[in-house]
Amino acid sequence: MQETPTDQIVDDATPVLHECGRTFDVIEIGTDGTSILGSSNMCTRYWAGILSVFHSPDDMTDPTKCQSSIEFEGGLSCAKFVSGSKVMVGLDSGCVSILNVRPDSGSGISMLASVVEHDNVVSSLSISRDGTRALTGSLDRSLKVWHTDYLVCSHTYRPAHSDMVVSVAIHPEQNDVMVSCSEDGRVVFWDIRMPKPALGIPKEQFANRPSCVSFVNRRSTNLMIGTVSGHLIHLDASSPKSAPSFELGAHSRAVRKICPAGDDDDQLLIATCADDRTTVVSSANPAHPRILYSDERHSDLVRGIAWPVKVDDRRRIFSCGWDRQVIAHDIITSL
Amino acid sequence: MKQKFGNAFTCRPTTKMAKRVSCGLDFISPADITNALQIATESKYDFAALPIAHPRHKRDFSGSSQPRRLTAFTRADLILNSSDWSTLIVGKISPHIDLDHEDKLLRQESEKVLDQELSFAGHLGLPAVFVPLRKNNTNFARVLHNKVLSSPLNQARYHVWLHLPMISPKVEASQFERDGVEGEVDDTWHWWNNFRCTANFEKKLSLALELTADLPDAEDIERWLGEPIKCLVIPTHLFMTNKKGFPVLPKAHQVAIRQFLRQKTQILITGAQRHQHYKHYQQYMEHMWQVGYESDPVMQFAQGYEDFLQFPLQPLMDNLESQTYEVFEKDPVKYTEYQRAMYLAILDKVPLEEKDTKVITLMVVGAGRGPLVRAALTAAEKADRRIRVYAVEKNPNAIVTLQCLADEEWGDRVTIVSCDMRDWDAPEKADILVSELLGSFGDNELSPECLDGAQKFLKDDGISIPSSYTSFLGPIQSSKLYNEVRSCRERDKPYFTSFEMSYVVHFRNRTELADPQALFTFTHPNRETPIDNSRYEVRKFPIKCDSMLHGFAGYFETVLYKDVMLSINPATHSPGMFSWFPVLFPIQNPISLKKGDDLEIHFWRCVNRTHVWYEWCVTKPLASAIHNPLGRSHNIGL
Repeated sequence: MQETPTDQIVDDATPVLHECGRTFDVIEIGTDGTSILGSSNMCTRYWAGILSVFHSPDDMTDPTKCQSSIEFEGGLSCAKFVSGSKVMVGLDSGCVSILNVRPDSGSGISMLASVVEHDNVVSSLSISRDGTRALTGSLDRSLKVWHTDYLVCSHTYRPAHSDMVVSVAIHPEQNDVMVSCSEDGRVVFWDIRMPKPALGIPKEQFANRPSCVSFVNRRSTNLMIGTVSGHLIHLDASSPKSAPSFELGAHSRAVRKICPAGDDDDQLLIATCADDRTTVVSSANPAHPRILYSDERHSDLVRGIAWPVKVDDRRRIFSCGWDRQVIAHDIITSL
Repeated sequence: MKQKFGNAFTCRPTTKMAKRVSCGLDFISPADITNALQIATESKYDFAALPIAHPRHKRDFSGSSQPRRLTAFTRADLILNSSDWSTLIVGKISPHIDLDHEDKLLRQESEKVLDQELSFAGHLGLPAVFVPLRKNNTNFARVLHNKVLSSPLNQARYHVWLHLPMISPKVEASQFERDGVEGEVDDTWHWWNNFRCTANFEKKLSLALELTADLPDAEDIERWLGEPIKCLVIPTHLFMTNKKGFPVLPKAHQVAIRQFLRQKTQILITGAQRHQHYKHYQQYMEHMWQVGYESDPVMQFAQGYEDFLQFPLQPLMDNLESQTYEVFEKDPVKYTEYQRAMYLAILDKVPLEEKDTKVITLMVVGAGRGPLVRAALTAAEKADRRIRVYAVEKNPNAIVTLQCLADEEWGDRVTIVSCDMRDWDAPEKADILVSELLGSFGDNELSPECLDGAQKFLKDDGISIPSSYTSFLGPIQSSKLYNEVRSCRERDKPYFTSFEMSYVVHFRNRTELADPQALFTFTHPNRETPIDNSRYEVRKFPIKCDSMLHGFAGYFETVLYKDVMLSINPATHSPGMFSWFPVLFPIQNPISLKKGDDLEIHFWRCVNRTHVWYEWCVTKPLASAIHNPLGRSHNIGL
């Protein structure tokens, strides 16, 4: 996509470009291929977040193929598929909503539930594999655990950290096990069945401050931690005092999103983006960790990355960024 | 505060009487600021806190990783008119700004983002900028101090409100931790103390303190009350819901908020709307303010004098003005107590059997416009005894009033003497000598010297009212007063002068670091020979909490006669009496104190033929230079 002249317009009242905002932050692909693109207008007169729905991931590369969209006040910071066509979004207003992006009754998007319980921007969102539970983290330093059915909050940890929470994840297999990462420089492992649920990972494990965290695969409690220096650290959270199994220099700036390929295979593919223009795919196999793919086609920050759901499609990833582009990356050649 | 000092009470500062609480509403990421402002004003809020740029909008200034973006970094100033920007909006800087980040790139970027946002805040003419304060903040303090220093050129007139919670989130979060260290100490006051020491107590840098679910000890709250808190931040998640569905705060929070409201702290409501409407939080704060205000008459009287520095009176050298007399005479407590003391003294001097035969002599030295003369006559009537009154006054202007009163009311019961009491050749000796020469520090208006001179016409068994007085001294912390003293510097005087004076102040924004202790005592009549009114005392104060010492508060207690007392010492303060505000002895360099330290101060009252002055010096935990040697900065003329 070429840069259009509208990029230079400072303050236009109708910023919608093919139902998308000016900065693309979120990209997610559902089980049936339905894809969502989350974007925001953060520099215009009206601050808004827009969720756009597409038939397939490839459609996202052409914004005119947008099926439907919905606008939120303030901005949209995160979104995830819950199950089927249900999507949960976290907003800059502190609001959390659940939507059906493809309701049975015709086209459009229907809002199922919406609550404001965070006191600041919802910065990160994670959904359990079975879709019943969600975890949100916020700049208000707190964590909230939700039942996705009725969007009822079951646990509030306030404050969970001593600074803004920037990244959260629920374990892909165990719904009660979670992890969070904060600007306070800590990665904390949560088991919400425990009366004292939090277990901090010793700071000595990171040479640089962590900026983002994710679980790696279903069978273990291995964590992938991104740092402000652009490194990826692989750590076993069940024995947090033991040294990291490996460290990879994947980016030049703070890692912001870590997206594991999902199913366990030998490769353990991890896609990452950071406060730079690169989209990176690495192999997190501790036996042979390495960077497989690095791309700089985005002309501004890369903010969202997603794997297609179908296993045989695992040779491609999609990324979006603040340059208003969605790019499909063909990584087969690099493997 | 810019005007020159005059006599106490004659230059009431122009602060308007606040009729209601000033309460603001915080917006996280408002879609439309016109709309946000409307919500705030319709709900009766006085101001709105808005982000200067979108909280998630990171900017990159390196140019290496991204092409320069061509869009503006935030919305334009045209959306509101300039008077709205400059009166209704507090600008919040972006939360990701961290000038003390260990990552060099992030730190440098933060500096540039901060610069961009503060410059825009200056451009908009915002009255205040709201910035989060982190634990590590030395570089942040340096940069903000630089900004504020350079602001006259930069057209910025904003104050900076440093936002920090009462209890460290680290301590609060440790409640969830399995192997958390019990009783972890991370006192946010130290974050602030590091910041303000680095920023040299700059008065444009003040605090926005957030109430937390758990409150610190009363002592820690007391310490916060001595800090320059411009705004108390109250998150909506602290509110409970009462039976009618309205938001209410727990008792402990109510008590704390009242203490802050007494200091006219503004309120900022932050967080999600957890009750029917945002207006209910404002209504609740308004209610708290009204209840607190109406129940406190002294607070109403002293309105406008809080933390306002005044030079102590020098009635011996200067003549007081009519207005000054008038204010003093209004005190509801002081003259009642004097009258009671005289009543008891008269009864002691004249037994019942002599009530119709014996006439005693009562002299009022320094009669002013006659309130003590009137009290003496009333006391005699009540006691059913006969007295003859001499009213001695050196101020010829007050004599006019006295003579008029003698003509119209008192008749020949009162003799008016227009003379300095020290020079007067009295025709007879007095049974009772009454004076009101006490200053806020007891002897600081030279009552001892005056009464020593006057006692030559007191009978050997005569009574002096007051019969004794004692000054009290206590260490205090107050950035506010320190700044006030610092700003008193006069162009043609050396820098230390304003720190070597004493000031009369109605204290508000200060913390007592230890209980005040008795210092100098004087008793009258003074029969020792030769009379020596110089004093030297050393006092040790056990310090209650980690703190900064900015000076000493001075008070006094006096025994008028037998059990009749007047006091402005906080522990024994005469209820409802407002004639005296305490006195402040500053120190030039603030001293950092630790809980449990023994603070040692040496205090002198020095006397020569023409002047009296005080010298003071802190010797522990750190030795510091003597203040006011030889009375070079301040002395009181005899």
